[in-house]
Amino acid sequence: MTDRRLLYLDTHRLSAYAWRQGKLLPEDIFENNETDLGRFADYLRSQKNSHFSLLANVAEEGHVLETIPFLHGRDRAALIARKIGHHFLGTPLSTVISLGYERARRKNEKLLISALTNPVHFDPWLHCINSAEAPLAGIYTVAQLGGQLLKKLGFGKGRCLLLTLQDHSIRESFLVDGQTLFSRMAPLTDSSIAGIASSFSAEAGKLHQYLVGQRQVGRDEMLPVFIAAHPQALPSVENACPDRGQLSFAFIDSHIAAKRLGLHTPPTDSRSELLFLHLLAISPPRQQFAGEGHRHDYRLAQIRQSMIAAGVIALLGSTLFAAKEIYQAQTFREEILTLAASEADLNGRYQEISATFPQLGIDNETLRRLTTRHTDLIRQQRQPGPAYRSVSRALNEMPSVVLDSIEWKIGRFGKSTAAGIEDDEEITTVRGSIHPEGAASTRQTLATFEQFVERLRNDPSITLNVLQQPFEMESGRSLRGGDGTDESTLPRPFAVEISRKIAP
Amino acid sequence: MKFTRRDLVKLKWPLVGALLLLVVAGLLAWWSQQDAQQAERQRNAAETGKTRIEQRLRQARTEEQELKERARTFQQMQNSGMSGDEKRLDWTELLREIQRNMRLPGMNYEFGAQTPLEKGSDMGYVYFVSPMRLQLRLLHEEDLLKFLVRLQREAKALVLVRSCKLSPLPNSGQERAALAQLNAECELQWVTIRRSTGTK
Repeated sequence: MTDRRLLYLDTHRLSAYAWRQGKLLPEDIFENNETDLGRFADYLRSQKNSHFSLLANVAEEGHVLETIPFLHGRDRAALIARKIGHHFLGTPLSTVISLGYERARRKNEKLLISALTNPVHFDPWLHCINSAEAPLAGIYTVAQLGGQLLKKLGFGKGRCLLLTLQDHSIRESFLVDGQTLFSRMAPLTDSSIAGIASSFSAEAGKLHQYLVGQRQVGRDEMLPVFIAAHPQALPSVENACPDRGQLSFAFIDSHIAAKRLGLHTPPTDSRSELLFLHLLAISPPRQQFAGEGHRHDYRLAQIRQSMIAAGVIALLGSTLFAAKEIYQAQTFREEILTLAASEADLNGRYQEISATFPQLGIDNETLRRLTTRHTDLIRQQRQPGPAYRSVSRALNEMPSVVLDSIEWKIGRFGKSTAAGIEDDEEITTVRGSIHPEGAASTRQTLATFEQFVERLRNDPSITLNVLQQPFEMESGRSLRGGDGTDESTLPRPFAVEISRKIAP
Repeated sequence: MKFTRRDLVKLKWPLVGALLLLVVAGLLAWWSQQDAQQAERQRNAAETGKTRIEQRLRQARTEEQELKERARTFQQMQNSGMSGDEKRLDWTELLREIQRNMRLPGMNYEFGAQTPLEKGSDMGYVYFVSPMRLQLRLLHEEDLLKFLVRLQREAKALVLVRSCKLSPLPNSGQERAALAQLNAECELQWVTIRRSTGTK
């Protein structure tokens, strides 16, 4: 976990504070000498997990309003760098605030360039910070935070002056719509309440005169002046600052302000640095004065934090996803239990019903297969009787046809194998001869045979195939004859095959 | 911002930590997803099982009638003697008895080796078949038909007639054979059923 630590640098010393949940806890004060700078470096090294912000309240602070052409990128940066060099002798502690673009002409950009013009004052402290590799978020000024203070307290619209007391000086700022356009520091010679009150009054008048002289405000323009002070000092300040001329005074009770800002350690006197430090902790300005070189370790700390944050976010996301998946899995498992119970119940009911089935010592599936096969085999259990009788009827009507043999078989291709006992055809082969009555011509013998075949064909369920004719009259075969023997009286053999499909 | 080697060293442990967190996150997500998918598969299997038993239950009433009929058939098979080991002695006695009763002039037969009807049957019961070659001397062709009918009716097996050839006898031979008019040669198959050895 990262702690926030605030460093307050005035013209003489640096004060270190820890900020924790609205409380500012003073930790140490370091003078600008070798011993204290060493202590400061040790202090920084001891706060490994802290991010530091430095709030400066020094007299050497400059503000310049500039107008530059409409530019972007490197050109704009180069021009701004040149302007800073021109106005502030190239101090490395500077910042630029864009105040918008002119509406007329070429959209020139209005800039407020601010700089800490005495970088030497910061050098020993920044050197300690760099050498201790302490992450420095930025360098800010009290003037920057004036607008924030008024905004948080509900003031700050339009032009106004803000006067606050810090250490031994009065910070007086000119603000337009919450943006400080000018600020300066006046030393405080009398630290009594009366002295502070009279200094506020005098400095307000001086600043007004200066701004009028600079034509920042109109000569007849009413200008509100906000003064922050401790509640005990407020009556004296109010007495010392009655409204006069174009100045209208408004007073900020520093305890009420602390309460509104959420600062749980209100200032114990009229000094306002605690208010500004707290403001810096809760809403630091976007612009700051430190260069990237001074913020290198802060960038590294940000990268470290980003990496860990990415890992933690991934882990959190994964945990959420896992929680969802685990919940889903749990739901599935509950469903499985319900389904298993339901299945067991149904199975029990099925067993109850199946217990009423005949008990044969074999399971139902085997019984089904066994009996189905048996039925198939029974279908194959056929007799030659019907085929014989069919042939007999034809023979009875044809006395000149004499039967030599009748062969009946199941299947066309010889013996059935064990595996292939099923055949779907019944074949009956009839072999016989035609015995002509007296001397019959070949034509008459053939006519008798055809008559016999026609009688066999009376059964529409058969297919009849003549294997051997009484006479081979086909062109592809040889035909013999003569007058030596009276062939017309000899029996003429024939063969027919009757095929019948077995109904399934 | 420019990185130096020293900066990378400073970022080493946070980088390792972040990677570790990412790996843990990935593993956690993967494990939980796998677990959920496995649970879903198990749920689907359980649902399928339940659907199956529901269907069986719905069919149980119709099954009851069907199974009773099949049980009757099975009992008939058992009563007919076709189940169990072959009873070849009974078969030969039956053949002789039918021949004697029908006064057939002659009979020769030959049983072949028994073989399973189907290979690789997983029914628990196996059908076996024994081929038989039968030769009969007949006075009339009707004797053959009657002989086969009696054989199929009375044999302790399922007798399938595969072929029969009927032809008149030549007018020669012994006195007994001379009485016969016809010669019949048939091929039959005697089917029996036996519990396979692998089944308890």
